Amino acid sequence: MPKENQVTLSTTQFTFTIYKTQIGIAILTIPRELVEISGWDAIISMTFGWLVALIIGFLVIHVMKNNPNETIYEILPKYFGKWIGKSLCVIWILYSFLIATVILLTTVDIICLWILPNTPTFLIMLSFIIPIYMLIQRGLQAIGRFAEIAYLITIWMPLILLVSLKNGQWLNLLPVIKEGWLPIFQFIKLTAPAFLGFEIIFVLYPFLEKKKEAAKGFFIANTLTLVIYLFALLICYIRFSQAEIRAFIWPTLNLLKLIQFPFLERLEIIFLSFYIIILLMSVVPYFYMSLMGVNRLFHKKKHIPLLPMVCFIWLIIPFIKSPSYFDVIVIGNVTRTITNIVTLLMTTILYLYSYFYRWLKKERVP
Amino acid sequence: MKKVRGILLSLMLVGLSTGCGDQIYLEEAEVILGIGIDLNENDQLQITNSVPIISEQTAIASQMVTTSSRNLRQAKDKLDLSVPGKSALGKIQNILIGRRLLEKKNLLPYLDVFFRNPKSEINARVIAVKGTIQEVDHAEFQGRVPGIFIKDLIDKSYESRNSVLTNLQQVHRQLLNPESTPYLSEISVVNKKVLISGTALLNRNGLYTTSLNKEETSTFLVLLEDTESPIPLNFPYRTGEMSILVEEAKNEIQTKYENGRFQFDIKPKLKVVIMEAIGEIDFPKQRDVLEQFIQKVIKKRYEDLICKFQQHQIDPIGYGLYVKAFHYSYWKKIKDHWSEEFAKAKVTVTPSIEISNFGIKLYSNKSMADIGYSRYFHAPLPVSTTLAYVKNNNSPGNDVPKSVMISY
Repeated sequence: MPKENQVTLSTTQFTFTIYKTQIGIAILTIPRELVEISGWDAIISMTFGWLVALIIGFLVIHVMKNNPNETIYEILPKYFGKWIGKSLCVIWILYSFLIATVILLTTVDIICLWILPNTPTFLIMLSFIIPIYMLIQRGLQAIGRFAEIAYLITIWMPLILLVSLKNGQWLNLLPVIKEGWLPIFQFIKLTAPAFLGFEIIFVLYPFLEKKKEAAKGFFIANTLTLVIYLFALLICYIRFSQAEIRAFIWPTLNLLKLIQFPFLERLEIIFLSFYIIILLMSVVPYFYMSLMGVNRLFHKKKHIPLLPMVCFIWLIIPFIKSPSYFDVIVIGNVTRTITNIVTLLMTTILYLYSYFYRWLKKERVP
Repeated sequence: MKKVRGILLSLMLVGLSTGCGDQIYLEEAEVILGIGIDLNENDQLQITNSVPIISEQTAIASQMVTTSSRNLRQAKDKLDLSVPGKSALGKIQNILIGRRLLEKKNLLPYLDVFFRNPKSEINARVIAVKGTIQEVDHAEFQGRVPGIFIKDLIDKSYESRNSVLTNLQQVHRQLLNPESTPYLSEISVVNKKVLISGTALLNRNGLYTTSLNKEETSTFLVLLEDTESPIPLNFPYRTGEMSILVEEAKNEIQTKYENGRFQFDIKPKLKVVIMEAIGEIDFPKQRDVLEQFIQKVIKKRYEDLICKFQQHQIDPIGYGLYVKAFHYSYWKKIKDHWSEEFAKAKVTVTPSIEISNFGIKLYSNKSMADIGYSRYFHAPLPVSTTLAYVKNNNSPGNDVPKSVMISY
């Protein structure tokens, strides 16, 4: 991240960075996770999840608006004092790093299983780490631009899912609200975290060129994510029956397995190859967020030793223990719990505290 | 900076170059095109793999390797022991299931391997065999690779809607779903010749229950609304014969729950084309009469078929889905024994037919009786069809065209 202060992000870059950070692995598994409610109920629940994410996101933007030129790593010490603030910063750094690692490990696991079962894991890891390294070294602007490019290259991907709608059974979507509203609300605990990724606003906001358009950009990003999720959910539930989805780990990929052109079989390989770009765009912002935190925390202008170090650690993970599916699942579940708590608590507390803080200041300096 | 970039690029190249480590030459691969699963007399699983031999010397050849094993994966391992090459399941076209297995065991556990391995082909056709896999093994395939022959046979007859086509994914769904029961296309071997005999129907537990013949299969396809290509139906009309194509079929279904039983009101709306008419028919004048007649035929066909399903306590069309969608509270109570519940259901059929065209000929003037086929009409439906085919010239014995009788 050279010369951070001069970097500015356009609104499009801001929007697509949030959008691409939000879309991650969840879209491959969410149809199975929501199978107990399935059909329209799942879609309603997803929309509620979108609403929750939207509210929290606006809270984040509101907090940032009061401190327009500061990232979360300056706000936290400012609000909570040196020691509590800095320990919260450390939590936030570890949290973003954990998410980046989990997404990376899951991606490598998926690629190993679906596309390259005979290739050594560390080579796949390496091929991910090279672009990650290059992007992060070039800083925020490169990430923003990459997000735009990633959006353009992958725009066709949801459309290809439409091909599998042939032979679909629309009745699978019915009945609406089958078990009452309670399960729909209960599943928000799964659907709202699917929109995670908007926390990146905490570090993006100070670099945004037109700060007034932050809310608009976030709204568009969140809605785009919702559209993609609904698309995947609808097609999965129309094409597969409830009993079937229960059996699949990644129903969205199974959907692609059904598509067969006379000249092409196993479309999911091509799909996944492009999907890597999207997954990469989830790893990079989180990783960037944590590295930035370390920099700010120790007031270092350059982070050169840290980036290669982390990349190296990631690279040797496969040598120590190649993560199996179960490891990935366990780590993923732990992360999910942590993510929910950290994001929810952090944003709400920050929001409420920002009022309290201003009130405090007014009291002191009348 | 530039140094690092150089090192990274070269590392990447090293990484890429190893990607070719797991290549397979086609000559060395044993591409399994078909798998036959059956039980032998001792109820042991018997698995037959059909493998084409690809080499420069032989033009078209294939071999069938039969092994007794406990599961499909083990059979693949045993195949590897007996053939020089690496066997590959990824291009599998057909999975034949012997009648004995279908009658005795649920198919679902044996299909696990196809859904667990991301490399496998889940668009393969699953076909029931009326008889044993051994019969198919010994059949003649007109000098073609059996795996391809059977694939084409099923594909082409599905295209002309004379048989159903069920791929692995559909069968998987059918076997898992509580809302419907499975069906498979069925082949049999008559005089060493493989032909499609209709549709095999399985019950909720995945066991063979009954079969549909060719005409019933076509009606079944109309019930499934599978009219992407038109479905042919044949029936006697007065003293003659008539063949129609169903171009569009839309079955409106209304469900009710009354007095402890479900009621289905099926209102099929069909658009048909007259393909052949033997007998005295004046089309423009008799349009209404004709439509009413076809309505009766369709009603009878539908009712007979549904009656058959109810008798055997099966629901291959998936009416359970309607119950689930529109009567969810009842569905929750009965979903584990839906087939029995369906057997009790009351079904009414009120078709409406529209003849969209009758070809380029106005009327048929000669009845079949006039041309001396009167003996046919005492039978309710044509009971047998004669197919002639020329035997392979180089095979010993008779070169005379030989007839095969297929009874439906």
